[in-house]
Amino acid sequence: MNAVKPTHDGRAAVLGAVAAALRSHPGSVQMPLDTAKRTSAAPPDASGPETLARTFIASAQALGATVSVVDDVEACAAMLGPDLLALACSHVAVQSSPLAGAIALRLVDVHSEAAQGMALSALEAMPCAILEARAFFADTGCALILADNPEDRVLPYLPRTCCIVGTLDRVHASLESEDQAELHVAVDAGMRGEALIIGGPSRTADIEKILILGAHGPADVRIYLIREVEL
Amino acid sequence: MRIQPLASSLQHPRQGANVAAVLQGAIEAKRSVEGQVDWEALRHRAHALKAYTMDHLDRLLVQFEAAFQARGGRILWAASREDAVAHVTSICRSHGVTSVVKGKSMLSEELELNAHLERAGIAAVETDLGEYIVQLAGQGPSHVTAPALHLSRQQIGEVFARRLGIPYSDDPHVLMEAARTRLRNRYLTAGAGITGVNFAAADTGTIVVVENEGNGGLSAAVPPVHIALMGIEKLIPRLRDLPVFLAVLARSATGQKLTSYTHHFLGPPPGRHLYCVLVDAGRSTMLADPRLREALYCIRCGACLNVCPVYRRAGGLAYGSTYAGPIGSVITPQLRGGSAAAQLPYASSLCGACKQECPVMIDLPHQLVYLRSKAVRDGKTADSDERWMMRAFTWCMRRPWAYRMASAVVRVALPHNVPGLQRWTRRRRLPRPPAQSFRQWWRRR
Repeated sequence: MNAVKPTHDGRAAVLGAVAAALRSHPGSVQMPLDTAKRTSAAPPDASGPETLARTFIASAQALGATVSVVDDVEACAAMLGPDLLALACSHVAVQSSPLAGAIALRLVDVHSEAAQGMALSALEAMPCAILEARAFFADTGCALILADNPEDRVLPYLPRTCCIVGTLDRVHASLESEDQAELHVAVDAGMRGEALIIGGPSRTADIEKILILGAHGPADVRIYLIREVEL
Repeated sequence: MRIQPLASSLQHPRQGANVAAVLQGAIEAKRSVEGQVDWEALRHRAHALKAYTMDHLDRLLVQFEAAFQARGGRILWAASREDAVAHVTSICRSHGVTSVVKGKSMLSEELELNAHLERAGIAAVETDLGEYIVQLAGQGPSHVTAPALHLSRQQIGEVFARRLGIPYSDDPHVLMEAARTRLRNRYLTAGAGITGVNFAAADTGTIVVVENEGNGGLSAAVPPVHIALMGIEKLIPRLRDLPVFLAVLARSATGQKLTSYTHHFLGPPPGRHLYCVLVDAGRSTMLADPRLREALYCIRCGACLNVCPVYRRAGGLAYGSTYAGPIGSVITPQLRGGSAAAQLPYASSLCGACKQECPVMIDLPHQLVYLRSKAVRDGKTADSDERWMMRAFTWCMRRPWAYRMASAVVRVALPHNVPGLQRWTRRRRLPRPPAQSFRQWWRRR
């Protein structure tokens, strides 16, 4: 039950003022046509997944992320496990996603726990998170994460190391709207929570414009692109 | 025209050097990423979308309200700054909130929200590093995307040592870690998180916040209540229009293709609360004036500040208002009013660099000139000395014999310390007058 009631007077006042402003000087601008020309310099999806993957890897690495391409889920776990142990991460919090869960189950010598249902203080203490990306964007080196529960929403930020897994066929050329099908499907389906586009480690340059990685979020972002997934 | 704090902002030589070098770096970073895309096409499209949005703002606001509330969020409407503050305070009280964490929000600065919350017994801590630094220093932000731009690392180290009780260090990594450690606990114990809104899609009711640090995501996701403060001008028509704005904002603000985090808030998950406070507070006044409506297109990137010769020399604090630089000089008189704000449009050389740089193509120079004429009409111009001098100048320019006599007097008097001009000449070197006027030279040729 919502604790704050809407203030109808405020609504009438604001909308009344806006309507009066537009009546006094009505605008005539029509909705701009959707241009066919792409404004991004990235190659279109027709380039093929391997080409897009190469572009994505270069873009993501420029942001400070590390990217690996693996053949399947077993290979991903076989690479991710030792990577985590090298970082002294023997515990991981896992997003509630089939792919992230499948990889976590295959980790050796790393204890995994589903984030959903964990206390926030416990999540804060976790050194690493595993999340599934629903899409990757080659021109910017970014990944799309969908989180519909409170614990998954904080996973990209709380642990110091963030591991993102996803399939190679989900690498798109750019953030142009036609490449964001996964986002629009989730939104149109009424998803609640957050759709996050994440590009590399957390950063700040607020002190004399000196770049620091790992401001409030993770300093270490690792991306694993998987060629084939059978769950 | 005087900008009151100008002298004090120039007193610390290191501050001036900091600002100039940093802003130049920001301009160069923007140039390097502009060239990777069809930049002019992006600017034109962003401008057209914003123009459409403002021309249909009433309908789009209603559409946004319906879509946002269909996802479980609640909209609160604020006609004034006072209403906005009252809404936020009321939300906090209704949820028993005694401390809030804040993501970066220029609107919250405009509302002076922190001070009001403190008076209501609600502790508010800024989480953006730059905002956290200036909050500890007891100052306001000096730049829309780099709030602590005017402070050196040594000054920041002194602030941290004094306010946080940690050993002095001017190492940015040490200072960031100190901030991160202290703010972690604040996130986990806060009852509410307050963020701004960069864009809001009317068709889907999606709120979009962009940032690099992760503090915005934490402020929104960790506490059980999320309050999003949004100016009514932040709407865009459709979610599919967002990529254009993300592309121009990141490039213009920080020289990036995209910020580290782009949050699309889609309604509260089960057990959580999401409020959006829609704020007018003078924006409909700008909407009603066709010559100022374009100022509402602003996406708060700060690019106009970076290239403005006045801002680069004086710094953001010299403007004495939340918004500095060219855009600040246009919108502050509308949002704040008053004779002091009416002087801000004069803080410009009208060089036009801001218009060249603006990613949504706001014609700032024309707006500044318009506001100057408006200030004259409204009797809010400078003091009687300046009005007297302008009348005398007009009288003289209409009479050739008077103009020739005045020119001769100036040529004789200029090298000397003329009484009444000391304030002007204290920091300026006057030019050496020629030995003869052009007419005299021409006659002798």
